[in-house]
Amino acid sequence: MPPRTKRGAKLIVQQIVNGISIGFVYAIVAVGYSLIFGVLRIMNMAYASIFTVGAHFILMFITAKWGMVPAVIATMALTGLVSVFFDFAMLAPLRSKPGGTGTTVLITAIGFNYVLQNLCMVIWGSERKSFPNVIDFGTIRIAGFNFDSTQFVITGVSIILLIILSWIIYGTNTGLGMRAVQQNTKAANLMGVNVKRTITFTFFLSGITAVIAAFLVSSYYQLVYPTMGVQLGSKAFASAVLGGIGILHGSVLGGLIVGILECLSVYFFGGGYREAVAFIILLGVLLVKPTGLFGKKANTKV
Amino acid sequence: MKLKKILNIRISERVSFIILLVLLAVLISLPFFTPGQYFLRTATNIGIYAILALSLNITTGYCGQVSMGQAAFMAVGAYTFAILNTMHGVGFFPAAFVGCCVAGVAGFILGMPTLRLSGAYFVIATTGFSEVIKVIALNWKSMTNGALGIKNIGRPIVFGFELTNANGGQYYIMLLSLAAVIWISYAIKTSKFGRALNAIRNDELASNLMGVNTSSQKVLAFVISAMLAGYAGVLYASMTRYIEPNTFTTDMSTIILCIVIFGGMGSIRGMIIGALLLISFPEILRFMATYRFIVYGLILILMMRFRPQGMLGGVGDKPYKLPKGVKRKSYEQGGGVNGVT
Repeated sequence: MPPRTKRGAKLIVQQIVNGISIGFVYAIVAVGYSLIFGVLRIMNMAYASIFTVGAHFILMFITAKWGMVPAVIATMALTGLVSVFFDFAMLAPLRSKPGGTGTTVLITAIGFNYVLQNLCMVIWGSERKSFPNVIDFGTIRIAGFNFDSTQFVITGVSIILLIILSWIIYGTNTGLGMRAVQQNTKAANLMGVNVKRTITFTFFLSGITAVIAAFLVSSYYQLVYPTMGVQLGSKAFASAVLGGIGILHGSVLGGLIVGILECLSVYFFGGGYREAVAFIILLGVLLVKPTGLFGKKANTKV
Repeated sequence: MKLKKILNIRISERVSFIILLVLLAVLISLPFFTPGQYFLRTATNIGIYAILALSLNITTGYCGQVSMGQAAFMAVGAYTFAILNTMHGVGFFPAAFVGCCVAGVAGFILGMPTLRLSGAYFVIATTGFSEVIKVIALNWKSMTNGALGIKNIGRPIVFGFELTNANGGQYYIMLLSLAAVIWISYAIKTSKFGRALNAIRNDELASNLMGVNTSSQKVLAFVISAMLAGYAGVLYASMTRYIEPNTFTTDMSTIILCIVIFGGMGSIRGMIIGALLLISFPEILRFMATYRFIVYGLILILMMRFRPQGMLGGVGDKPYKLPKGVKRKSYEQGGGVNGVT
């Protein structure tokens, strides 16, 4: 353990700030998992690759000199469509079969995850491509601490996105439909909720969320590569499980906890073990409270 | 459907016995008329993948728990073997035994918390476990030599005779191991334990009510699976003589899962045919090698959509004997075929 000095304390604060900003990115992706789990009760294993596809699309449009905002908007549309296509072409036929939420859906999602990841590799190459940091406005100095403005932008964008998502889910009719489908699909259908459209909308929304996360992550690390989703996806999943999957505020808190602990572990144990922190947390949570911090005790086994 | 008819042909026992004998003769005499060492190496590789698929088949096929950590257990076995062999000079067989046991212990540690839960948690936990193993292999430099990997791993020596790829010894040791693993798989499948696993796959709640201790049976299946994967790792390490943290990737786990799904969950000969087809196809169709992983992914998706029981799933199994006068439900009735829903 490093000595307790003034400089050490400063470094800890620095790492916590790093942790909060990267934690918000985990939170966004975790919310993406939670959205789909909330409505369909399935884990979208392909989400990590949808995130990667999003990052590659943004890079492609930015390289084509579209400018930042049009690039992100175009990517949102495209990636949302990929996400909807996944549901429409692969999951919907399985849902119509009896008992279509078990192993078959899981393996289909693993397969699609793999196809997307390797399509990225074939189309854009497997090397690490540099991404322009378009949200860097220099260093900001507050109370003797140097903060990267990228981190502020990430935190700000994430908070705005999470507020918008909460508004969609808790403040609009579509969100009411989503919550109705979550509680009881059949009853929701009888009450006039268009279940198919609600599911499609949820997939589109989760695709858009993935794009924003992809944009923030690529700007932060300034790198885009086909396997970038693998670790981030599983860390975000760990966050979602930590907070209680299917619960939005739980996912956000889970993401923050994972992000902060990860950055603190870099301070205490060095960078080598960073990637393992999220999974040790995940295993611990599964051992102690599988429903997560905010999870209610479910009637069925999770 | 025509395909269904072809796949459902039941060969008479005498014919299948003759086919088996011919196949055995071909397999045993393979090193004597191979076109080259590369061919034999590919054959050994196929055999190792068949062992891996059979090991995953115990958790995924018999028990219905999808695991993505097979490559990690392979890594545990391979590293334990390599460290014992290169640093402490332990011979092949005792080191291989220890490698298996350590992989089994790893399986126990991972299985205990996660197997109480269903599907996706287990997938993520096993994926995460692969990541943790990789991090350990990269950072525990005094033992694993970090990113440089371990070189000059020993080959098995039997009565002072080194088994190499050139003299076909490695091929034979693979063949023997494969036969042993097939026997283990068959023994598990037909035992009380195997029936309990089958019950868990079909309906966990019901089997729990019938008195099956589902958690402990699942963990036991997972531990056996991990041990076999660890042994495959030992074979792999002694074949390539060099391992590093990036040898055992998620790609490998996905290929193994793909073989199990393609061959048919729960089928034993399906694993071998699956390994044969899926591992040899990038070698034969060279132009496809770039797209091989896309093909593996597509196989997973398409199989789930159109033939969830796999190419050979439920074909070779003899139907369970029912008492007289009890009518059998046909496979097509009900939801999932062979309990895979």
